[in-house]
Amino acid sequence: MKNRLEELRRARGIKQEDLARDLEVSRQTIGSLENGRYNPSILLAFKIARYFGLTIEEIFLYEEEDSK
Amino acid sequence: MKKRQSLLLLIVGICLTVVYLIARGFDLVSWEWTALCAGLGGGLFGAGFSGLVNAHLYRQYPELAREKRIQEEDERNVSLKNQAKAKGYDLMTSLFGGLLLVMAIFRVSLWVVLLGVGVYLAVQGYALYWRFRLDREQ
Repeated sequence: MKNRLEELRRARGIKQEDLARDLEVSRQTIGSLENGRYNPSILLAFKIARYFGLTIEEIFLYEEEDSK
Repeated sequence: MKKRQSLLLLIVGICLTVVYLIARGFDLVSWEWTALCAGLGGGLFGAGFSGLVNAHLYRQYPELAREKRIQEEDERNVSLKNQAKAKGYDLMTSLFGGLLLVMAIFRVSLWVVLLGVGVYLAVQGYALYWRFRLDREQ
């Protein structure tokens, strides 16, 4: 699933390690999220949205092709 | 592993090893019991000792403990671990079945083959039980 995670993180000058520590996930998870190889659970998606002060839909871009 | 558990394992491991040494010294036990006591005692001792060392380290360096907890509970790591376990289980099921067949062909003792079949069915039954239970709970 495409997302704006990397864009948002870089805009705020946050490193992957720092974001991972704040969200209490591994750095590898952040990396996989950013390049779209891993989709977060609903809980993690909410945590990320709350962290950036945005809604889930503003960060994760669901397209019909994602479900195929 | 909790400190109390680690300490218990360490004590049990030491006791088993001591019992083995005494029994062996007086030639009281056969080779099979010797191997069991020595192997089990050594394994339990190692597990308990490493648990105590880890508990001490994590108390001294709480950041290490937090990092370990994150790695263990990270949802992607948990998912990957479960997927790998599932693949291992599938392969083991096939290989185990093949092994039982080979044992039967080579006329291994019937009781050994039946024991193997029993273990195989117990594992399959356990997996089926959890499939239904998780389906009901989730």
